Amino acid sequence: MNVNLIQGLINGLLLGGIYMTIALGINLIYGVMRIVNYAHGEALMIGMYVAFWLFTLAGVNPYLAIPIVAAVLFMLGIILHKSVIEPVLDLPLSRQILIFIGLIHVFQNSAMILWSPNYMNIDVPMSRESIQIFSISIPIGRLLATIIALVSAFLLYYFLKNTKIGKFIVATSQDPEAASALGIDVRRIRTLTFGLSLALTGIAACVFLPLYFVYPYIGTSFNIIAFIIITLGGLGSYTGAIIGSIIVGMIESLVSLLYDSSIATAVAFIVFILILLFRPSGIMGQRE
Amino acid sequence: MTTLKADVVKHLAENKNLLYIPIVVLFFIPLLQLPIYVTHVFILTFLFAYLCTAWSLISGYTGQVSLGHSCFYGIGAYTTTLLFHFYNLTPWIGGTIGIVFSVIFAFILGYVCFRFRVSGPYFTFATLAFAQILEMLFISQSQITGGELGIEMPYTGSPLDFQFTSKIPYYYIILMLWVGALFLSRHIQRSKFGYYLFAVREDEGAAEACGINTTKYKIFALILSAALTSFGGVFHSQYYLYVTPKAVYGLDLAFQISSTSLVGGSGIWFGPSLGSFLINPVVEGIRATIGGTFFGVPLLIYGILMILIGRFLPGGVSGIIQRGLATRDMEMSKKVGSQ
Repeated sequence: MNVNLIQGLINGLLLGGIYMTIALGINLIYGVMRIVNYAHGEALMIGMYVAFWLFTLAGVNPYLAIPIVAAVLFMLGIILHKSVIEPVLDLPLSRQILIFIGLIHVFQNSAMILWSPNYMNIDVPMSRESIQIFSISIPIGRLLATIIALVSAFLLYYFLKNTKIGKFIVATSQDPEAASALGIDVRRIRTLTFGLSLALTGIAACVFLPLYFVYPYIGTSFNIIAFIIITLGGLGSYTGAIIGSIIVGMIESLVSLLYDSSIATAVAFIVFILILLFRPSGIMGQRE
Repeated sequence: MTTLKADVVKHLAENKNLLYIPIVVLFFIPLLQLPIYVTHVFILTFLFAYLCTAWSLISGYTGQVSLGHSCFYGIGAYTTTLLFHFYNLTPWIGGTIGIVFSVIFAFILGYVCFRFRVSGPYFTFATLAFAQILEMLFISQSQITGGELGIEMPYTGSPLDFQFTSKIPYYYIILMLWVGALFLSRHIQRSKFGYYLFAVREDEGAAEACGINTTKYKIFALILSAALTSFGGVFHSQYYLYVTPKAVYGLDLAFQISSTSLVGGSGIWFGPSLGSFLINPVVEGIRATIGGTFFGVPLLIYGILMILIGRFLPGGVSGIIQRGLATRDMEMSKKVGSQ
């Protein structure tokens, strides 16, 4: 097998791992509340700034800052859910979209006022180097990001299947009314889910910081890719988010390797539209 | 206060011709010899009123929210510019070809989505993906499209090429386009076609059970909306004489169209225009006066307003008027009943 191809596959896997951290968070929210968090990328941006300032002011390595950033974003999630998200859950899609566009404006412009529109990055030791195995190179930052993504995906899965609150969350996503009838406090579970999802985003923010520049509009590009991934995999599906991330990551990496990197994302989106033709609710999605 | 408001609303509704007065006034505004910048703000406001009215035909009336309407806008703008740039084809014909392309594109998008029952957020993300695909393709094919830097429209200044030396002709063109779209939208809302679209929005299953071919009407609404939006793109290319993939295909434009319409209220014919008239002059005014000093603050406030409007005003700002009209109808039917 061609070395180049193996390199492409590995890159695709690593990229997919990066996308997975965001996609899983949005899907968790959709599963429980049937609402797409259009402002998820903005939460990621806030998380990246928190990690950035922790590093710049206190010298905390972003990988070690994961618990702090996750806790901060968990709190942000709870506040956001209570103040903005909870009242809009039953509104029609168009009103939800207006509110989320407003939320995106609020986040982006607050970040701009507080931290200026400049691109900022940090230099974490090791994260920009690569491991060489035969003639394949694996960037350490991306490898760590993928490992941490997989670990958090596994922990989330374990949490949902084996703990009481996790089971409550699953029950609520399957049937909120039945769950409520069985004595589950659905409102509390939803708040908790939102916080948990943003905490996952906080983990993503920490592993992204050594890899990407942070600026107020960074959320938008991740938002779009994450929306495509979760729709491709099936909104609300845990497995779907993972499959979708890998597919999009692989396509992007292989197209840029074999053909042209400037249309790699476009090709992934075309594949997304083609998949919708055959599976209108995504690969793992269920008809509502 | 509330009775005063109700009175005004009632008065307006009973004397329907009063609604035409603002439009007639707008036709005479250029006679005031306003500064060029003010004329520009008017043109921008009409352009957005026009685009938002077009957007609402699909997203307001049928409830299928599109976040990728910039793709039709971009097709119109780029077809015109590229045909003029490479084949010296007048934008009047180039623009028509652009609209035809948009219609074909909208038909494909509509057929793919609606025939295979892609709806709700799936439809929203499909439209988003379409606009993104076009933006990326136009950036990557830089030898033809000029890539990210965009492409200039050769300037001739001849009306035969849809170009004018002053802003006034542009003002009248976009004003008439907008008024045309407005009346079309009103006509649709009161026609059988409009009722079918509303039926789709309220309950698609029930509409189908009543024998309405929902797929057909949704596709038709999308095509109509796309054709109008695309002509907005043609206007863009002639007014700015410069197109970039980000400006015409970008998400910012798509988001701006939808948020402006929704602030005004996309479920009624005059709602989207109201949104544009409320927002664009204020945004431009702030940009011209204090925009540089408080970077980001105006948009932050705008974002908060959007959240509040979405949360507390069903049907946007025009929802207030709509509810006023509904109260009047109820009172009138009560009167008729008691007689």
